[in-house]
Amino acid sequence: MTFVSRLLGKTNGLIGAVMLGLVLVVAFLGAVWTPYDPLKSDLLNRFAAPGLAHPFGTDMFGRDVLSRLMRGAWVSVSIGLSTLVIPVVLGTVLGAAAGYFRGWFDRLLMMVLDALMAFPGLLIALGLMAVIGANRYGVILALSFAYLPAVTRVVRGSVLSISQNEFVEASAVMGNSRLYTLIVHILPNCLAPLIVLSTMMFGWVLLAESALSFLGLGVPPPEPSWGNILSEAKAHLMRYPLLGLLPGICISIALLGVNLLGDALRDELDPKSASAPSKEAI
Amino acid sequence: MILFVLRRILMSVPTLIIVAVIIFCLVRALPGDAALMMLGGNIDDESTLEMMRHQLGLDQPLPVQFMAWLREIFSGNLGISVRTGQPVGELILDRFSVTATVVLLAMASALAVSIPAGLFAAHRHNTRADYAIVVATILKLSMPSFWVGLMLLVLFGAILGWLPTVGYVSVSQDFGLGVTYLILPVTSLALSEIAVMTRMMRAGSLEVMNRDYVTHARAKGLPERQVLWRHVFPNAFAPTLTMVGIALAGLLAGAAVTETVFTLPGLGKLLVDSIYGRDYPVLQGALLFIAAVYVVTNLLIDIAYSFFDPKVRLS
Repeated sequence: MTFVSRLLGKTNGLIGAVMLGLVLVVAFLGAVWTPYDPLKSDLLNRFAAPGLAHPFGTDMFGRDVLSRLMRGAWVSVSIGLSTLVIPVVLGTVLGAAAGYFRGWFDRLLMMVLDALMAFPGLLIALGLMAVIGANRYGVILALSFAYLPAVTRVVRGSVLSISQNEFVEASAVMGNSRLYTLIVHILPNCLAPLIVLSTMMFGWVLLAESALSFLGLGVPPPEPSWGNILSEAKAHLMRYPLLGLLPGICISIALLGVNLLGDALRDELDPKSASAPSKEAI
Repeated sequence: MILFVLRRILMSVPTLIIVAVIIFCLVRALPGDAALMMLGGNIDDESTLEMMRHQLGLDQPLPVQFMAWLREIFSGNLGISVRTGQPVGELILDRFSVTATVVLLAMASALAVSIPAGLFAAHRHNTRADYAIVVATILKLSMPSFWVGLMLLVLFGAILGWLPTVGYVSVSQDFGLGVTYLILPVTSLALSEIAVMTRMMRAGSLEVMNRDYVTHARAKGLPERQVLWRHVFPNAFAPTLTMVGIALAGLLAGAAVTETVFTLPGLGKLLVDSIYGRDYPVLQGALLFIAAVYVVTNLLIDIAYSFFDPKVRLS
């Protein structure tokens, strides 16, 4: 409780949490209820201006823009959350094993990770999308793989530095097995950097999903995601800029929430780490 | 120093080899039969197909295929585009010149803005000017740069009509016209880099701002401008320099999206088109080229870093 109140006591933590909370509420609402069917076209009512019936107007197929943005929020957020699972679980296992047991496994893993880091994440995802095919599971899998090296490195790094502590030595002296020491004494101390990284990663995934979908290599239409709403609007932007403005604002609000909350979390949980802003340029 | 440079160069060799293995596996995993594709897609003559497979070496074990591919790369042969019949190496270099122009111009303008901006914000730490800079950077950091690019395109291209919206004219063909095609892509890429690097520069400057040597420089009566540029800047710049390497790579990958937005015939557009067109030799070559550029860039940055921070050379 004290931790949460300290976090929300900071201006950036509070604003970030509120914005991110708003996005999550809209996303969960969009999963179960939207004012209109987000897929139902109405060709007699294309490009309707914002009004009482359609607060944000309608798109090139006469679909309600608000409904599409709400369902799109759900699609984008659910992809963002599911993408965290594989890198966090697998990255923790790999990173912990490499950082704690060292040896040839560590050296080999670091070499492969260094090579993987030689690609920008979006590029790995692009290549994988070509293999898997453009659909939402492809996006999740491709981005999971793209962000796996980052998690593995962070966990390995913290395991390495925590292993130097005396309580780890004490645990060994007490006769605990190495695995027990790793799980009970070392891993819980890696949680802080992992939480900070996951928050940031959620933002990167939202950004990368929108970029992939924008390129037509993400969630296929007609199912709306923030990226493909923007992509579909592209051809009509010159006459109806609002269609492109709105999904971009949605992505920006979500990312701003993530960035602010992530900064506050890092200051609170992991103050030692450099205040380097990490963001993939997309 | 020479030893450090040599060791650093040697270290990047295994990285490049693993990169090649990864790309090779990725491209082999792609759906579709390469032999069938070379023959135009609809051949049901099994023996012709077999012959094509043999010709392409596809009937060999994978490690043999990999070594053969590596040999080809070292002799400068990246294969031939399935779609256009052009040599892949030529195609990549041709497109890379466009991407490099945009990316380097964006990086140069980003550095020109963010170094003074970051120093200034740190100098005015906790004042309104500082807060304004911090808020502006975090706002920009939260906007996808391709979306900002699109909105710039709508504003300056369609609504105001000042700049062209579609197409590309090389600067070497017609300088004046070429520049008008470059302004928007460079601006949209530069804006996001400015946000990242201003924050880095500010954080780096804040860290050294209260060091003894800075106080000493002030105490001996140097004007504030000289304190900032002579004493704070060189020490605060090293972390930002590392960021430049990461950012350059990010820009190369981000170019795929930016170039699609602005319909620039660059490397990123080539990559995306090769995925759509299932042009695997081009995809393979482009991925390898971008990864190699990234590895070399990081190598150069690391070497440059050792000039700013001599401790690196000894570790």
